[in-house]
Amino acid sequence: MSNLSRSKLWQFSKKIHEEIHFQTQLATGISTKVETIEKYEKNLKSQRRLALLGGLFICYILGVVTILPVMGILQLFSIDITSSNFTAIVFTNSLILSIYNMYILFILFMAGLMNYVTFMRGDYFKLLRPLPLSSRDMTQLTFYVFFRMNAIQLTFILFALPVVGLILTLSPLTFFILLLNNLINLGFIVPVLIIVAWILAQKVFNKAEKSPIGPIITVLTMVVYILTVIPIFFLMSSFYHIINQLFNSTLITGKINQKINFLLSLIPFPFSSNYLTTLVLLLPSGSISFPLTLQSVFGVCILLSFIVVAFRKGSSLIQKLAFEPAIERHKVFSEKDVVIQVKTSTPVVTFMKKTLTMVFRDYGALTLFVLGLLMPLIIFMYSFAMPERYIGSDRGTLWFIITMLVFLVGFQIFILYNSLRLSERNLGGLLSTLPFKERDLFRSKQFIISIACLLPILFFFLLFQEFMTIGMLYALIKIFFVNIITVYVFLILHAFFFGKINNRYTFTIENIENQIRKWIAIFVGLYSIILGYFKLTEIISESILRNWEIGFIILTGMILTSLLELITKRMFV
Amino acid sequence: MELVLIVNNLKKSFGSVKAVDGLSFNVKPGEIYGLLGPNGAGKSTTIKSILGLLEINSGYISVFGDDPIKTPSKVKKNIGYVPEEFSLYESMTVAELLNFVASLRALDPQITSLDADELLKSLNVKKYYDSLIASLSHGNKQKIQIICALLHRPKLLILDEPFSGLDARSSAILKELFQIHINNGGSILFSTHIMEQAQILCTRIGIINQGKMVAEGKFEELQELAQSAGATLEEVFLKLTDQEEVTNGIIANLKRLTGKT
Repeated sequence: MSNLSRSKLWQFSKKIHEEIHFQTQLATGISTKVETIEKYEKNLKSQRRLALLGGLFICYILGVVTILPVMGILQLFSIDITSSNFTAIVFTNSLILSIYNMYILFILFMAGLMNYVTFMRGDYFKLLRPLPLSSRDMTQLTFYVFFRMNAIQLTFILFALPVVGLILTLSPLTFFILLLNNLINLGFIVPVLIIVAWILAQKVFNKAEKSPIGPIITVLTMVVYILTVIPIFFLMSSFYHIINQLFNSTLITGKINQKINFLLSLIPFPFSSNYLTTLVLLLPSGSISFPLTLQSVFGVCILLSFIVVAFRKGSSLIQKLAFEPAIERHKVFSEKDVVIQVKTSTPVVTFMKKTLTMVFRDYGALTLFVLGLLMPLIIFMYSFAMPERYIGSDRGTLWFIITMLVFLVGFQIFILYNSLRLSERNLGGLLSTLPFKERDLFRSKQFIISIACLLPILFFFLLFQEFMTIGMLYALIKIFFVNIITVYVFLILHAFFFGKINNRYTFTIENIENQIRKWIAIFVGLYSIILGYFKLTEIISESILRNWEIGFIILTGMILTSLLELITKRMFV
Repeated sequence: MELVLIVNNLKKSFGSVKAVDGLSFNVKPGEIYGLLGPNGAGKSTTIKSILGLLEINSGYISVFGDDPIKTPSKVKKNIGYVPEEFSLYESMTVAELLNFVASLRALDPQITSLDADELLKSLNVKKYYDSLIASLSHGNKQKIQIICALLHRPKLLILDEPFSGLDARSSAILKELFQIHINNGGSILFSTHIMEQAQILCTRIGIINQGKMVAEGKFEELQELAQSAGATLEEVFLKLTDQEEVTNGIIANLKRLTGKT
């Protein structure tokens, strides 16, 4: 069988890369299947653009993270190094570089997780197997696809820090040392990612099998991702202070035990190569520690041997993709011990069970659901990370959080609702053939979203009850009613604009014509009611019923809720 | 004798495309009515309209005397529907799906367990009871759809291409299930592309083309109508839907092409 030229294979790999990206979009459910296919049909270039934008976004995050080691290097070259502070400086800079490498591993993994898993499933190579391609071609093609998936990020990681280092120090030595360090670290990170993705593709995200740990890992990864990547821009502003403090505190105390350095420099990843890099960067200043350098070299040698092993394993897994699918297990099924026991429950509980089961088994839906749940938590994090001048005081922080909770509720409901409907919109067919009351479906969505929205308030109350003023307590009661009312209004308006069929309102069919206008109308409606409720309670309680404020807040909330309940009963039969 | 299903002068357009254009037919008790037509003839649109899943432009539909547009829930209680495309929740297990369907149909758990056991065994899918639907083969998914449609012992079964993907054993069992359903006083409306099955199974056949009823009646009546005594249903179908000449032309071209290679 003749071999194809490398340029042909390279061109060919582009198509497979685009297909993997497309399939990942479908699998993650960020857009629904129909929406993604429609977009793809309309504009074939959109996939390429999306893949490129995805890569650039990761580079942007990586660029922000690169500030961390750059700060470290700046400090390294601006401090007078003496024998008394040498140990502390080596420790601090090596630690910063190691944190940077861990961050890279984390970001590459989190941002590319689904792409890696899709790739490691190997389904896309099935189509190629019957084609007259030699085994050499297939192997090369697989590697090219993998390279295409990571080209932008890896090139950025490899060169960003060395180039910045070169610009800041004008020293080619700095450039080459940082480049070599990055090469070693990436040499370890990339095969590790491949191996982990292989395991995940088989054990966790294997759609053919129900993995109990799948949802747990997905939730955990999403929680960590949301809590770290999204606030990264906010946290980075604090990096400068953190690094300054780290340098200052270690230099002032100067009590970094030599033993810590010896111990850490022996840990191959992420410490050894970063210790060695720091020591080499300090060479021009005339400071050197032979025992520590020897230890670091020893650690790097161990790391290199790990790299060889991981690289071989990673390569063999990638090669395997070209010839055999990653997950094709033949389970032997037997009906011997199967007991058929149909269990029924009330329609509302049935819908809630179904929705939550599907959300927890769908990566895209779960991502949105967790994001919706955690939105207020991110606000808490920002609030406490913000400098005092913006907030004023602890009490100011609490008021800031309360305001944000009100502002966020509409978006939170929007995200939560979308997470619940993703699976439904793709496969609404079965549901629309069953005889159920639309009100039960409404109720199930209302329960899930309301509970998800009220959890942060409960969390907030339990955490800060000691610092609460009576005004804050009243505000929280208002937010409680605002949440309940907003969920009602959102679901009513959604069905009104999107789900009208045969003079009925439904959640199973969606008329997506003019959807931007419809969404604007929904949000205008939502926020008018939220602000209206706040203003009304404020005006009346301040003017007429000052002594009865709490009673009035509850009464107004209950009247509005009852009104909405009446509308619900009329709309959904 | 009350008719099970009445479709009268049904019209449904999607934009400028007339999917169904004045279609009328009915299904009698104890009857298997076959709805045949080429791709895009309007079969699925008709079936979805019967279930109240589409907003129709005009016409009248009645299922056991109920209007699917005004009382969709009541109509759906009496119907078991197997769609052409899979509409199962693939991230559920078979057990979870059956619980879901039984709960929404408010079925008795004990009786339904026995029924489900029998159906799962008959169609050879009992062993997949705890498997995710996503992991099942095309044919097994089809069997699960059929079981979901039969679980509540409906009076009217509506099946869109029910034999698609089924193995020989399951096809035979499904035909038997049809017969049992009819013997128990039920009725069936089904659409298919497999003419042999329609010829064997159907009491009456309606052939639709471009949203209109082209011919309707027993198989022998259709043969007469097409003036093709002794012809198969496939030949009658091609003739009545004006596809005979085109098909013969394509076959002749293909023969030439095969001759060249």
